[in-house]
Amino acid sequence: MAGGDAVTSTPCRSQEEECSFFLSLEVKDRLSQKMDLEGQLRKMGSAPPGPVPEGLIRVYSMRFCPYAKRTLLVLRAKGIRHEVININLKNKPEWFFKKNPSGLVPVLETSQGQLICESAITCEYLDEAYPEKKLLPGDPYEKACQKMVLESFSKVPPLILRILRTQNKEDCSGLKEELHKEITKLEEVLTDKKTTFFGGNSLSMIDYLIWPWFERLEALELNECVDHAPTLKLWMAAMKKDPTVSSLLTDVKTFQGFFNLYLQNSPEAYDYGL
Amino acid sequence: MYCKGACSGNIGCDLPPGAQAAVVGSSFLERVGNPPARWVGSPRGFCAQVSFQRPGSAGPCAHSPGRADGCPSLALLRKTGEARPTSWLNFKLHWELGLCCATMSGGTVRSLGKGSAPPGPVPEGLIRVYSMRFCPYAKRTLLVLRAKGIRHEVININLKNKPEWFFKKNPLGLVPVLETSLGQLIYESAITCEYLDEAYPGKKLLPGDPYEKACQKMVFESFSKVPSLMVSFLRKQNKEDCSGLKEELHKEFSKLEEVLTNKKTTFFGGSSLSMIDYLIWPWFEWLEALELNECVDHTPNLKLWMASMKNDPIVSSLPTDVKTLQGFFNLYLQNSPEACDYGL
Repeated sequence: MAGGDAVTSTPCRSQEEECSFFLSLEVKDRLSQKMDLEGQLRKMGSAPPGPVPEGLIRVYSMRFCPYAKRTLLVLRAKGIRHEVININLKNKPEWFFKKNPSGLVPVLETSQGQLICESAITCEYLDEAYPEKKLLPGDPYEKACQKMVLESFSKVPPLILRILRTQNKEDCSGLKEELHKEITKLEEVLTDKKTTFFGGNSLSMIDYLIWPWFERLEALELNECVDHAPTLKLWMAAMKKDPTVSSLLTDVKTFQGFFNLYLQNSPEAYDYGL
Repeated sequence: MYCKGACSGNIGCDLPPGAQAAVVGSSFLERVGNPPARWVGSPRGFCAQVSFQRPGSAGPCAHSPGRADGCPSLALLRKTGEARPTSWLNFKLHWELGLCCATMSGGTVRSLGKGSAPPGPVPEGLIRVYSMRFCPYAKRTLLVLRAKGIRHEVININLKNKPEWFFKKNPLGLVPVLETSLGQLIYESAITCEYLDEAYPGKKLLPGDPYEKACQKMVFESFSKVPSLMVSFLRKQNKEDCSGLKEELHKEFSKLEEVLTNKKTTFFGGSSLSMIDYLIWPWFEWLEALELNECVDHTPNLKLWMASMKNDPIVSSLPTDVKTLQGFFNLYLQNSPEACDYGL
């Protein structure tokens, strides 16, 4: 399940019932999942959460938000103790705008009340503030290279969103062409570098930053867009094997259920699968 | 030729402190090719404090070793009553005296266009920036290079007539691009600025604290709508009603005003100038040329910030003249290949 499970504001389930969703996960993961579970889905009219306990960092998230997924991946990869509060993005609590005036997730909140918004900024912040397991390279040029790859990836998220929203599948061919072009750019990066991952031979920040959209390809029936990109296909397979990625993997059916409700503008979308 | 860095940087010379001129000696004339039909010296002209010797060596230019008060061309200039070389003839005279510092910095170098020869490798000890005199994105990189005192050379690109070789430097064909002596290429203005701050010692423009650095990036994010709004405004001028755009711009400026009001500091990063200020400055330079000064009327802290920025030695060493900018806009909107060299 995606990190940060939620309960609705109607009668809370018992911890046991929540845990039963995670029988397939390994025990050690379940402990961190419990922390995610305690996140309540907050919506309009809900009480603002209290301050963040010391020793913990909080992330305001949404189970199916790819941008928030970046932050969750980094938190896990670096083993940072955190708590998750999921926000109903179709029915936002008023207090959430004090956390981020733009009303978007992800947002980080520290125990000192510091707030950090914008997914890429949150990820870089975490890498710098928590020194163990650096995800960004130390060399300025290598770091710049990762940022340039992120830049060349930047057209993909809006394209995928447009494809999702295009009800009439016929009209998608133009968008799919564009997506194919963008994916070819990324394929070139990998073939030029001759490494498995975008930052070298081991997984690093840039891989986590772009992964959430590749996670969605199958659910959107867009696997064909990577057909001409064999190195990228290998990268996707390698990513799925990564412990952090696989612990936060969302299955196809759950995605599709969410997309369905999301396109209907249903406020129930964000709790889908619970 | 090297700038000796003798002045405080306020003199407004086109040669950046510590920068090396891209060519040395007689090849300068070959490089420049035919002199422009009308040599119009930039208002800033050239500082006469240069050396033909290696950087750091004592003394003024080779033609007058031992002179402590600088290049004799300065004496000549004083004699003729001119502050700066203002004509090609005048410049050539100085050149023949072997004294003039032919600046190859961004201020006066003609842009390279289609058919031009690709530049050679970047000399060691130097970093190269591919730029365009009026590009606000490239201005960011130039400001950071100067602020950190990084020795660099500038190659201007004619963005309306791009050389084929430039796409090997950046497949997107955009400036700015950094090229190191190792042949490493870095593009996207914000990435170039962060790279320079990390790769070069000396004054750090970004804060060390992760949260403070994140705050600067969040301000940068909230500024992000301004560039496209201003370009839209530039393109629409005299054609359609711009009040909608002005409203939007005003809204974006109010966001920035809030940041300053909440922080209670002069600059966006605190009480001294830092990276975020340089990153957003180049668009505020455009306000006057676009007759948009009214958009900061309701944002007093932003107005004060603009005034403080204009007083900064680095910012004032790279000024943009309103008339020149307007001349550029005019030609740029006509898609003229002469636009990028306007004023030279």
